[in-house]
Amino acid sequence: MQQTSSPGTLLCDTVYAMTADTAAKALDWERLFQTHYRSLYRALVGATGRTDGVDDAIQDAFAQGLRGKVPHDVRSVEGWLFVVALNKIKRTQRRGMRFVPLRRQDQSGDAIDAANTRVDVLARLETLSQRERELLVAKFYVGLSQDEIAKSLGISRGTVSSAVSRAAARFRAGGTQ
Amino acid sequence: MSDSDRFDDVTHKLVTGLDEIHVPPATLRATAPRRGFPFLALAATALVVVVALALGAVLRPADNGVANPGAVTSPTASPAKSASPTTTPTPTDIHAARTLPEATAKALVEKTALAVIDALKAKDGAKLATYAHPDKGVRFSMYPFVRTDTDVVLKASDLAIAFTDPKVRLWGVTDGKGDDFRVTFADYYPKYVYDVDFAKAPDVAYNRAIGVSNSTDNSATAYPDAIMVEFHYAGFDPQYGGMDWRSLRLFFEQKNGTWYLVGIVHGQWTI
Repeated sequence: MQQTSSPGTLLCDTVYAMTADTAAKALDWERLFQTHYRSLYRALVGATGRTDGVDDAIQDAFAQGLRGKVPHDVRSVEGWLFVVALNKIKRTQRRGMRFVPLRRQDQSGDAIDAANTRVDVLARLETLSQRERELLVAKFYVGLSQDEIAKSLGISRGTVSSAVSRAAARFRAGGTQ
Repeated sequence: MSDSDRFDDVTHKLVTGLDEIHVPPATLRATAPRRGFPFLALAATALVVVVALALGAVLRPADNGVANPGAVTSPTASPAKSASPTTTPTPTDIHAARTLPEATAKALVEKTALAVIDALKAKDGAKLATYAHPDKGVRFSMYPFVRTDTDVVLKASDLAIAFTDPKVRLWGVTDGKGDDFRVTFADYYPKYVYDVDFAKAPDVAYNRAIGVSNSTDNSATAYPDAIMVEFHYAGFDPQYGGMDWRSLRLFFEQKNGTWYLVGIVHGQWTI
């Protein structure tokens, strides 16, 4: 069972192919956490535009996994963790926390280019609607399939395709469309 | 051209940009659940049996048909009266009502469901408000997938003025285009509530789904304690071969012996 992901790869590049056999075995959640926490954190920040509550949401998702709540037919544990944590954040948001736009974070002189890239992407994401952010991150960063996105976001498969195209176009244009 | 080719630039920009986000150090806080002592398992089993028996006792009158005629009464009868400690206790808050047999479900909510449909047809917000669940209100869903986190919920006070309320709400996202659907209730109603004359629907089902679309039907998990009533047209124009079907689903939950409306879900063919 492959358990590694490197920067620049999609979260779901590491597919666990949860057969009945592997699902029956206990996953090494500690190792999964160490391997995927950073990618999950970034995906959730990208999808939600906030950092507060992200750690709690990921911890909750892992707690659910530890309690054996992972569906047996899940294609990717990371994808499942992302969806669970995202829903958790959205529920929290609904309870009164307002959208907090991300601001540039700590950076050293050596990291200016990287920071600019980050800020550019976050700025573009901020011009999109919440749903568009979720779609883009789920599709292009987490690597969820069309069916998985449809199911997790509650829209039909046909809608996913057109909505992703439109969101991508707006992202490319920096939200000016 | 595949998706990955068409969106290569988006993927690259997202991945490189997001991978630059600073991630604070973290450790896994949750631990695997520990196996309890055998006596704890026994206690849990006993608890499940007790709950099952209690649930059975609650459901038994319903299983016998209309043994609980009070439960069919319109909510226009004062809920406060039925909740009064001086009255004879009535079965309250039936759980897992979605699992009730169709005949039982029909006996319990038919009268209320027809009254709600009449109120919808007449655009009678004040009357509709009397059927709204006093605590939960009524959730409106554009498609069979009920979005418990974002679908609009209107309380009785909102419903009473809904047809004249100028407030614009975000009701969801349209199928196909994926546009935000942001309108007043008066504009939402003719498109995602009463777009055809459901009061004359040829097919009416209780706790049984008729219309099936590409949109996942999660109503059983969104409303596990509700009875579902579906008003359905199989289609209108033969040239569409049934793709122009329409459904309106009403969900009723019981509180203090009265069935209240908690959800209105629209159903139609989706991409």
